[in-house]
Amino acid sequence: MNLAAPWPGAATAPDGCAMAAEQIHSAAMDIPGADDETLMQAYGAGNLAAFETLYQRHRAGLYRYLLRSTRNPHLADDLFQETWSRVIDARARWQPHAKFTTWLLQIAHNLAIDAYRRQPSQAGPQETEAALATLAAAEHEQPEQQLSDFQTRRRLQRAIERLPDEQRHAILLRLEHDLSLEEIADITGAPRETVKSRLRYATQRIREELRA
Amino acid sequence: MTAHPRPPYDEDDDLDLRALYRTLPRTEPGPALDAAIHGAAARALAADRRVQRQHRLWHPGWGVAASIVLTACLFLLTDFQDPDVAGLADAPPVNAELARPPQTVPRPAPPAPSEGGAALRRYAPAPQAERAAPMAPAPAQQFSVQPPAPSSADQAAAEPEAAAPDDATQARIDHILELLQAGQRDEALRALQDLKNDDPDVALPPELQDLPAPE
Repeated sequence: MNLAAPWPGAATAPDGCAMAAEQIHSAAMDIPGADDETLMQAYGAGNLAAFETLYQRHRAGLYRYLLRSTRNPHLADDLFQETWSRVIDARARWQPHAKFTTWLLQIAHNLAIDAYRRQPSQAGPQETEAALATLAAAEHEQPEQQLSDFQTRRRLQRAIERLPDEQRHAILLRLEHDLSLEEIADITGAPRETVKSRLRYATQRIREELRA
Repeated sequence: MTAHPRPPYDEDDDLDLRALYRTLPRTEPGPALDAAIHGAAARALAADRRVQRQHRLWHPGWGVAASIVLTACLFLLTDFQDPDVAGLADAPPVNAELARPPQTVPRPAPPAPSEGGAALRRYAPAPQAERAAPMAPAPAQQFSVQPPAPSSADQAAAEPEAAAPDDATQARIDHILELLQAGQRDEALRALQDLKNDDPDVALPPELQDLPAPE
């Protein structure tokens, strides 16, 4: 399997499509159609292809969440690898008490919080500029439109980076993963109303930044 | 990724922000990072398989089976100790007499001072030998010494005392009684017969008078 393949989110099975236990241990299980929880259990039972599918589904979104949370590519790489190491270590004892996505992002969030506590200053101006330099404009856009969109995206990225840590985590979980308030509360460990307040403040600041 | 229900977030006007966010670069982890994680996942499964193989090799059931086999072997070896099973039935029969442990030979009792050194008395076990007698009985005949013919004077002196046994005779009677108490009836009967042969007129206690002759 090509590990650098694009994010195959469209191949995700709908919720509640849990496979029988015997199918988890079967080499003929429908890996592309299986849900995340079934794939994780299949990997725990020794199915490496199940892990590869699971990894392909979540690698890009998780990496962007960590990169934009930490604003440090090197730290994001470390946390990304550590997050998946935790997943690998938990393969045998993992039980689908919660959604795999929630559990995965919870690991990444906790690792990022720990990293903040150890190293409060995460990113310098050079790294931010380097990240912004990757912004590419669509070829079909007119030069004026390209410049306007580029500036808008740049403002959005800067606005996200300038948010306080708690608001940035919340808005990234919302924008990157389309999570609900309850899911964000589960991942961050904050009450639902607190998450709602953080999202409101974050949205307001981003809008102000975009209008500036 | 798994589809999520629309969050009950009351600011649905962030739809435009989400659309704008999706225009940001779709940054992804590098191939080296992918390879490292893939390798870690594969190594973990390989380690699991090794552990499972070791568990299969060293399953507790093997220990139980080995214990059962060992116990069965011990039982079989125990059965082979039986001559019929071990093929030893053709061996010559064991002479019970020769196989008997060597018996303690008690020292003869010293002559009674009253009778003088020249007088030879019937064998009378010493007190120490009497204590060992139940454990190692010896035929009285083996250790008996034929008494000399009594002189006429002695015989005359002994006549009135024929009913009362002398010390040596009484010791032999006591020895026979001890053999009976020890359950060695055959030995006791032989010793009694020897006593009767040596002294037909011996006065026996009531418990010895009714004993039959040895077979």
